Amino acid sequence: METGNEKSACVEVCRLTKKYGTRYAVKDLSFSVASGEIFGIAGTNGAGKSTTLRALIGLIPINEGSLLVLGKDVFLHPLECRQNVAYIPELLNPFPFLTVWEHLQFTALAYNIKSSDEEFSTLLQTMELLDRANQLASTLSRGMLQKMFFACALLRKPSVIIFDEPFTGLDPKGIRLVKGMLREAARAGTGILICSHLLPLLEEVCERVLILDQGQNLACGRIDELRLNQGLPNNATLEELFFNLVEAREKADLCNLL
Amino acid sequence: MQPALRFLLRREGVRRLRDFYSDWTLSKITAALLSGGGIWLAWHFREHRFLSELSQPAVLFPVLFFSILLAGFRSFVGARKNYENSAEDYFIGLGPFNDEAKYRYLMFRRKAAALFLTLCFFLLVGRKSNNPFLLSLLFYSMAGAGVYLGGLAENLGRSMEQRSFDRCRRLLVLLLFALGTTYLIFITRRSLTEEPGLIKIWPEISFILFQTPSHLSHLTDGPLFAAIETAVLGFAFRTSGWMIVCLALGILFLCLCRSLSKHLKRSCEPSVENFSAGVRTFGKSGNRLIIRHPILWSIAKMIQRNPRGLIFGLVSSLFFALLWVPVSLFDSGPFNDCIIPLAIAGFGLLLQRFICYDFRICFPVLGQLRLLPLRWIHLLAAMLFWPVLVSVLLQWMVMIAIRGFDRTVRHFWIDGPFETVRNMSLTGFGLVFLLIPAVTLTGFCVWNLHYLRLFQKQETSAEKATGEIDVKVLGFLGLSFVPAALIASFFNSQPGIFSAIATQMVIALVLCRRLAVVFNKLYI
Repeated sequence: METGNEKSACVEVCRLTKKYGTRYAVKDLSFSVASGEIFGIAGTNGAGKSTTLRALIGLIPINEGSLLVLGKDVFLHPLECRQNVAYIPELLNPFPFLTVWEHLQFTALAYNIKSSDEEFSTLLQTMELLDRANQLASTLSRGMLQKMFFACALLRKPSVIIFDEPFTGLDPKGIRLVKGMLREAARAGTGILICSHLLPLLEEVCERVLILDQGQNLACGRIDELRLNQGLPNNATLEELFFNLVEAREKADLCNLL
Repeated sequence: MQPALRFLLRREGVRRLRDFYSDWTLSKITAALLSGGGIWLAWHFREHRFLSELSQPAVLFPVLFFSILLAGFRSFVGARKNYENSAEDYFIGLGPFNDEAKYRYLMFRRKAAALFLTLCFFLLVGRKSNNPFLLSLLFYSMAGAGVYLGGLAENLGRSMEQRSFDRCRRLLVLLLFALGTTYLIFITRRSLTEEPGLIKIWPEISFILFQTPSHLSHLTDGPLFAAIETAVLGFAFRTSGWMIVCLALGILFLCLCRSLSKHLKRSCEPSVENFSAGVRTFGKSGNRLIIRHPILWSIAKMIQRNPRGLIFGLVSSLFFALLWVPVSLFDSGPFNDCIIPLAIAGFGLLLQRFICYDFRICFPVLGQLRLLPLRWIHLLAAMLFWPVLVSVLLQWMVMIAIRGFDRTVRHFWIDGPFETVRNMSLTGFGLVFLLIPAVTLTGFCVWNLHYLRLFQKQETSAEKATGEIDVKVLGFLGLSFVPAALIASFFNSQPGIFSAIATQMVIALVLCRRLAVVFNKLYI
């Protein structure tokens, strides 16, 4: 299993297998994320990225393997894990009858956080949402919702942030803001696990990446190490690396079939 | 309760109150009041030669027959609302559905036409005829007219697109609401103080109580409700002859549906081009069925979409109707007491439909809730709190109303509601009050349990629709309301009611647990 060597692992996925019917969504997947690390998962549609993230928060049952958050099994200690993990899904569904401000209030109450109005204001100011504080969250645009959910996650100061498609729907300014906030949270010791289709952004933000295809681990590690392993030049992008791995996999599958 | 969930419930409560002050809700209430008011008006002037004929059994019985037919028809029309299907938009003459104002205008036109026809019928046909058959139609039309008026008010407002008209629209609806309420209270008080009148008007009251909500809720499962309505009304009017006629018609209709569904099963979707050309066809080439009439097309489309569900609904409704035939043969004895529990059951059913609460609406929010570090029982309580509370309160209100209209507590309006409730609790009737929360909780658990289970397993819309009917029939009638209500009423004694309450509580608790397990394991 690949690990973040220097720091302690806050997320450990060991031989995760998840099937939908007879189809494997994820098969025998292992990786770990260290505290203070930004870890990215890249993959094609249906590769199993979102399934992995949802399993990690305990939203879907798994068939085999173990999932540990801060050393505790997600399914044996669901409440503790949920207390420590902030998950921001790809499909953002706010409570339709709560305003942006009330979402922050709700988060504070749900996770038993002592917070003040000033703290809410500062957070919303940082996320450029202060002027929308009294607006119903359901009326916000996708990008603003993304920022609101991120604000709620940051309010909790969790040990792990799991972010599914963090950059989708954001304008360039928003992307810059989220990147900055992710790095800041990582510096504060939060383990961050993100998955995205936007490979250049993953390359820019993440220290290590996992490349998934058809539910299986194609490669996992630092991008420069992966380049070296694949025999790619130093200036090869994550996109080139990704296609190199996926095409090699497809060729291998074809050979097996023949 | 966990503070966050308490916060959420408080906010949701505020939102529900805000929702209540919406044009849609108010116009529905207006429609109910106008509908009720129309019938009360008819009763009030019952001494008039023409109107006195309306309240004769010979007139009222055919009403039952028309209620089943029209409720069935309404079900097809109601089920047609499918905004995504551009072919259907061509059918209703709108072109691709992208303009709500156009749709509203069309609905307004339809309701206006319906009102116009009703009034025409009232003025031209009804007045000159002594035929009970026609008079019963008139009676039905009067009940419908209130609904149409409410609909008109609503659609008139909605067709005004400009923002400046919003206030005017709201005022119009509020005015109607206030007028309807005042009128109904006035006429009710006046009528109920006349002692002998109460006994005389019991059939009419039954009619109002059972028929009006059916108008309101735009039921999509008309055959089932129509059968229940017919059964209940048939029992209330102590008749069995019309029940048998209705059953025979139901079976005939069932056969027709089956044969038609077999034919349509092989059919393909009609193309948009065909619709714009005004031709509606089913079936592949060589096996084509051309349906030109829009109403027939609508019926065919409904059957094609959900043949199994429709047949299931019909069979179930026939079963329930059949169940009441022997009951209606008895004119006295313990079965008489079934009226009230059954009325509650029927109303409970309609009210659930009216509230229309199930987890599917909140699936996205459920996803958020499941991320919280909270125990399942807290989440479940939070999800079910408002729907169960509102349902129970409404059912209690309905029950008090029914009991208030009943001859044994005829001083409801004179003594005041609190005195009546005290009397009920003294006589043991109040114990049924305790049964209602348990029964409602069970109903919601079954309802959501089925939805959660069906959501994953059944892929096609037809299967889901079938599942919905399964849920309605099994969940509410089969598992919760009727057995408990019947047990309570049959024994009509405190131990009997207590045992029913205990049984229902056990069922509710077991189902709660089961719902939580499914809820937690569900892939959302």
